[in-house]
Amino acid sequence: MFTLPKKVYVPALAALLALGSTACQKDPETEPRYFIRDNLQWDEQDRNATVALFYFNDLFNYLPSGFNRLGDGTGDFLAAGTDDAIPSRVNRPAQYFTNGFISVVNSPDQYWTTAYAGIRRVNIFLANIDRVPALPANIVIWKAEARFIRAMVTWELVKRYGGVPLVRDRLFTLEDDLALPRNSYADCVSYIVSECDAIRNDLRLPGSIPDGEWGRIPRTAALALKSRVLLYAASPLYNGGQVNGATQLQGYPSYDAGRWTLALNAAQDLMTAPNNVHSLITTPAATAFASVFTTKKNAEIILAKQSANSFNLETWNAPMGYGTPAASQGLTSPSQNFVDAFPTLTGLPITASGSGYDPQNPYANRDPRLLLSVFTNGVTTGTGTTAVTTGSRWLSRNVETFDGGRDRPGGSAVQTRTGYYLRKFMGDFTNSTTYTNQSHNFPLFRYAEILLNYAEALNEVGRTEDAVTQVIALRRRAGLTAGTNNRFGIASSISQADARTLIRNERRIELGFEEHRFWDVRRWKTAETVLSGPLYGVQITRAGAGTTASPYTYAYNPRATAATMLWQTRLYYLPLPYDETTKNLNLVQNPGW
Amino acid sequence: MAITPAVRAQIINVPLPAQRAVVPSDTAKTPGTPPELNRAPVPQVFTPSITDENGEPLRGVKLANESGTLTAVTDSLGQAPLPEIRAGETVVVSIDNSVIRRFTASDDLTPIIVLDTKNPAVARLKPVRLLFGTSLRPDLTAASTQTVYNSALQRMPVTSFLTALAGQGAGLQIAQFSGQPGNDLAFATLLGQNATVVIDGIVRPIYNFDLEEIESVTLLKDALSTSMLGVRNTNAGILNVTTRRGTPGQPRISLTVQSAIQSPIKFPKPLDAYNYALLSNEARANDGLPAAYSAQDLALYQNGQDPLGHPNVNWNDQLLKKSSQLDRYTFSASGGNAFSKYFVSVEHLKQSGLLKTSDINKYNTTNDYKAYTLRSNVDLQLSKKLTGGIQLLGRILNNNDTGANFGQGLPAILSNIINTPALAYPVYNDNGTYGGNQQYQNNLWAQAIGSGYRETYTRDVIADFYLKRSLNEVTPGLWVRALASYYASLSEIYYRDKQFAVFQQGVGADGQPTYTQYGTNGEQQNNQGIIYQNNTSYVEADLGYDRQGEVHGLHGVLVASRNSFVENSDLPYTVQGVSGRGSYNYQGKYVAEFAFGLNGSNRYPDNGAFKYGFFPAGGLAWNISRESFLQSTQNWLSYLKLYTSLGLTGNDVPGYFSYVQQYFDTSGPVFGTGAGGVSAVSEQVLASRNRTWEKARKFTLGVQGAVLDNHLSITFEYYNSLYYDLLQQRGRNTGLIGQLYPNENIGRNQYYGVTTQLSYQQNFGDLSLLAALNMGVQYNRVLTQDEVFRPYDYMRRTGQAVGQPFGYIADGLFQNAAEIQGAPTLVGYTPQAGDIRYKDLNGDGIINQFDIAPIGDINPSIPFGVTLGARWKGFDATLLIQGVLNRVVYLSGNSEYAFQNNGFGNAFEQHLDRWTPQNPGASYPRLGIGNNLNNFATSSYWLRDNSYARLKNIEVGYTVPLNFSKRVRLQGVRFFFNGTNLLSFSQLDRIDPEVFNASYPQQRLLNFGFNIKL
Repeated sequence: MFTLPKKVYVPALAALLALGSTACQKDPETEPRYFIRDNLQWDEQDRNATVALFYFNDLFNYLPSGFNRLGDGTGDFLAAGTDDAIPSRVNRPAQYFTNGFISVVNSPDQYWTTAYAGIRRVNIFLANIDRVPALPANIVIWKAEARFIRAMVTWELVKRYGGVPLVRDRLFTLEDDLALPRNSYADCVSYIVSECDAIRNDLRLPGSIPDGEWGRIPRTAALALKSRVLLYAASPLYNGGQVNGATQLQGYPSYDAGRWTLALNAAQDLMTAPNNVHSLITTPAATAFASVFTTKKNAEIILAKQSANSFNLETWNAPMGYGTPAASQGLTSPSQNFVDAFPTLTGLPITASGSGYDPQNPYANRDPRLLLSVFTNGVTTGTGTTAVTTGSRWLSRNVETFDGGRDRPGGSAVQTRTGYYLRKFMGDFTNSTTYTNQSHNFPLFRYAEILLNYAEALNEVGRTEDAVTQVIALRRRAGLTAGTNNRFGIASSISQADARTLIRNERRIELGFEEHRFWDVRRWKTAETVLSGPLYGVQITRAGAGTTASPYTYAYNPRATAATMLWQTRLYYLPLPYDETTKNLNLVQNPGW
Repeated sequence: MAITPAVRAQIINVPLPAQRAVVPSDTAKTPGTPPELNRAPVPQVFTPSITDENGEPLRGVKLANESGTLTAVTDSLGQAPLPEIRAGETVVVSIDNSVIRRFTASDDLTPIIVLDTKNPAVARLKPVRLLFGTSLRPDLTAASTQTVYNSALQRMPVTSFLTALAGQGAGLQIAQFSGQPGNDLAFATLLGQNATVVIDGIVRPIYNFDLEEIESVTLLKDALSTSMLGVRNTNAGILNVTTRRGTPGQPRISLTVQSAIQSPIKFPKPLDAYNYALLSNEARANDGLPAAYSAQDLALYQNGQDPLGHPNVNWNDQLLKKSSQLDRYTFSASGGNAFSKYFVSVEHLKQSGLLKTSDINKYNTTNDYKAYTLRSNVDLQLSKKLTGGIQLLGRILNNNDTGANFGQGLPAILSNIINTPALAYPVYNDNGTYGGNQQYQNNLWAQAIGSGYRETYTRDVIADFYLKRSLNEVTPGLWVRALASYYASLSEIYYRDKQFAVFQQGVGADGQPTYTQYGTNGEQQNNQGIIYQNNTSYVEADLGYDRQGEVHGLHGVLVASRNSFVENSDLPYTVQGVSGRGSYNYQGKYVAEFAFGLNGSNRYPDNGAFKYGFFPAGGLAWNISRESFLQSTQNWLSYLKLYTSLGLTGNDVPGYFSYVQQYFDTSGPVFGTGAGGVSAVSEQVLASRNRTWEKARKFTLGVQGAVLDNHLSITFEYYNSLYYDLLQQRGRNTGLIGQLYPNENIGRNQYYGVTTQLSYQQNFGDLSLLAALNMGVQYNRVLTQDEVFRPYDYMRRTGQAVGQPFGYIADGLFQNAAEIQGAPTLVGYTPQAGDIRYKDLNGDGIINQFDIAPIGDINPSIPFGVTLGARWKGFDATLLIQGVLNRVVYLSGNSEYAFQNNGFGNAFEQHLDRWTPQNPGASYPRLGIGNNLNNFATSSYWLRDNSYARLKNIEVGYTVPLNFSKRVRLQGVRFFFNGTNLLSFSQLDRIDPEVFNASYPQQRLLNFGFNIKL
């Protein structure tokens, strides 16, 4: 047996141990070098501000979006929580707004955490960007754009909750006392307006934003935000017309007619801004209204949430009866209430005598915006060159939303609950066999809204005829017939009250599914009437054999109740998240919640 | 008869149990230097071998003839020669003056006598395996431990030793959440804390093991036995696994072949098409929706005359086999001589999958599992004072699974089976294409056979080396040791996925079938990825001292160690420091013990600095039965020990350099008319600069005794642990800060309770009987958390059990409109008859967030296990019952609720018992479509008592008589049959107590095998 001499192995043992303990100390790094830390994020050497700009890019993630956004997975439009539509699927959160399921712990559009996260990110940017040696002129623009996003996000909070705790420029740490109370509605409005005013001259005019940067904040966006904020602030719910024991947290305690003037001026400010590049687009003539949404850069869009080109919207919302390669899910069911709001081609409401509305051919001779917003049942009469299709065609066939039709087959599949599908925002696939990628930017501000803001304020300050002019501009672009008096169906010497109804209806159909209706009916305080009672759909029965001898005939019942809406007064102000009110006892909950 | 000088010499050489030093771990990594190494392997005189039921030799067992004139005590090989015994004479086997059994000497010169470790006297001969490869005699430690030996583990033909531990430890709870081959993960908790696994002295999270290579698993429960690991999660209990070593003597070669039939138990039972349609219509009517199925549809579903248009597919039967097979081949050899000792083993395990396959594929699409394990433990006596050893483990685990594009193989398919109604679509259309439609674009059968396949390869290598030298020349009993270890693990996956299209068959205008396509057929896509890769390097240096004199005994060890763990591309997580243990005893009666860990890890500010913590623990033990005043009671009170310990433990969870305020990539927005994506970074969760390890202060008080002449042992322990500085997000984590809060050292929880073990073993002639019971009664409660404002006391989480479920208190179902009238209802919800009624706790007339209270009392949790066993001549039988009392289950998810997923979800047999006016005593509320806000709100309605007892295992074995097997030149032949998960008893009979919803079901195993010893 071999034995090592002691004088060999004892040192060997010691050496082994020493090796073991030193070898491992040659770690290449003791902290991950790939971490982006403060000093790299705000690199004080980088004139290109590369990483700082990556941070800046993230701020744009906090601009709100609007397509199918409510609820898990592929969600629903906010409009599905109004009288304009319902989700095709049952028990979807969007419908909680109209079926009464909403509560402090079950509120589908909680925006609180996201909004404050956005504000924090902006504040970090503002606090640090001056450390980066970028071109000072650029820094001025970036800061202004960041501040716009902060103002926008703050507005999204105010729109939902009324006054909220204003963070302003503060950047909180773990040690700070965050039991912040809510600021008043007035404080919040003046904060947003003052931010808009402060940054407007730092922002670039839309024309100076290169194509590659389309989606960045133009000066007119600040003006548009200001216009919207002041319009809301002047509106009945907030302008001294509070309900349900609301306080200064939820609005102005007393009415001030001057607020309408402020709103008027703000809209006018945008319309008359120097080098104004915004206007209603009018080409291509028949579908100008549709191309506003599918053309990334156009004169009408003031600011849109940018997104990659896709056919997601078509897949989600187009009629459900198509297979691959254009299989769609039909998730949104616009209501009969919405369809009925569209006038006929004459501009007259369908109920007016002389409107030319035919209940048994209900989609013929309607405001062209109807078929650009909604898929209806499509019917072709005649053959060959005499074939005439009324209603919708899609993917080279008529849309079939009659009972048993391919897009309303019955059974358990998800399908329209109203006889309609959403068409707005989609590319034109009338005669295609497959979808192709489309531009789908959600419009946050567009010129048509400013015209309507302007019209509404004009009417409220008594300049009704000036208001009508704005509506006519929209109707002319939409392709309605001007009529012999060139008033597009609007009565001469229309009263202020009738004009109000007209403007409100025009806003509903022009801006449908763009997240206006939900808030408009609240600020107008009309929600208790329009968001209450039946939500109608159409039930279409087809008869006949489809032969020349016995052609198909369609019978329409536009009073099929798809759902019943329940209104609660407290819904005028959405509930603060329950969790937040338990963590911060200074947060006063909105009335009724 | 006179004792021969040789025998006398042996008796003198072997110290009596009461005076034995620290068992020098013949079979642990600290091999002793027994003088008997040089003895010839085959004795020429009558030399019985005494082993325990695991085949491990027992040292210190006294053999005598009936008159007591001839005696011998077994050595470290378990052998004691009785040269003058004649065949036919009775040999009495005793330990500590207690007769364990008798046997009759025969012509066989080397009979093997098996004693069971369930006998308290035998158990006291077994060393207690402690951390860092050290061990102590059971009576000389104050630590709270319990050991489970090889044979108890091997009875279950499972792949993870954790699964095999179920029901075998007091306070040990094994929860199994899946029965999937190769992924049948079990989670072990010890006294309510997640258990850490230590294998041969080093923390290594390996669970799937060749069970034959495990000598024992020792549960270390208190601070005294765990604090040496310091910050290395000693808050948890520790499962200390010791692998087998060779024993000098005749080589032992063993071959075990076994084959099990495994069948899934208790998969949810979906409704057939007719009942589904019927209930779906009812649900839709209840929700005010039009019926989806006409009377004609219903008739066709019922009579099955239109299988294409009105399919009725039992997806379970379509996709899953009734049973699958588990084969296992284990070969091991052990032995040794004066220079070396070895234990080697090779195992091959093959588990076939449940998923059916199709001949259309040339490749395998089922979910099977193959494992190859190689183990080699070699110890070398390099010189008289120097020993060394190498332990190697190599392991290859291969998994196959179906491709299933939309998820991960079989688990995705199982959850899809749950979610797919029988009438969803036909398997195939008339033209042979896969059926499907707009709503179901994923034909399940196509997922199983038409979506390609995936293969996972996992390789593990462990290599441990050590050198140990006695420093007797400095002072007797002193030794040093150095140890190095490397462990590497790599798991790769190969994807060979395929897309498939499904078609909905319809009828065109011309009466011909039409096929509407959903999805597209694709070519097989090949991809490869690494699931994980990691390696651990470990070095250790020890200085030890073991000396047991007549009066004083001192055992101590001082360890310096460094463990560096690298996972994927992360920087190493290194724990280093010093730990130690000292144990002093006076006359083997009074024991004082001290242990500590002084170590830290490298993920603290600044720049990855080490932060060290000190975790001391102390304990006292008193062997009362050794006191002279108790000598008179020895006939009934054979043994009595009191012990207690108190100490601090730690749990280091530094996060990945969480003290650094990081920015990180986030999804980028799109800019420009070309809609180009840009990069974006964003601030991450707030840095956690003051973070430190979680801590616990643990107290244990125990009594251990043996009564009835060492037939019944009783262990009873009380423990009370305060866990503090627990990492939690603060409760007042308001969104106003605009960022996620880090975890902070906030929480304080208390865990306390008792554990008890009873163990009885007695021999009646050739019949050996044993019974063992273990049980824990475990309480816990939240002492501190950053509680937010709660307007009512019953809403407070503080003071409740850890993990206490909260919800509405259900008060039955509304039976009619009159009951609903004026009743408090959920905000915004108008109930109808058959909806759940809730208690309005604060009396404000509505049910809202202020009516949420604790539901279900989960304190205490009572895990228990009962083992019964018998051995008679060649026959042996054991039975294990395991269960948990006072356990609740919350029924939820797609296998419990009907028509989920907006009405497309499935419905199950239990839903036939839904509420209708005719069925007021229903077990399920009225049906509805999708997520009903009222009925599926978290409430006590869905809480069920899930206490259960399971016949976990039965084994029957027969060992062919030795004189018969020797004729075919075999040292032993044993046939055995065992069954696992045979029966379970719980109030909720339709689901398995542990694995339910869409998880891979637990398996019932019927296993047959034989073992040959060469």
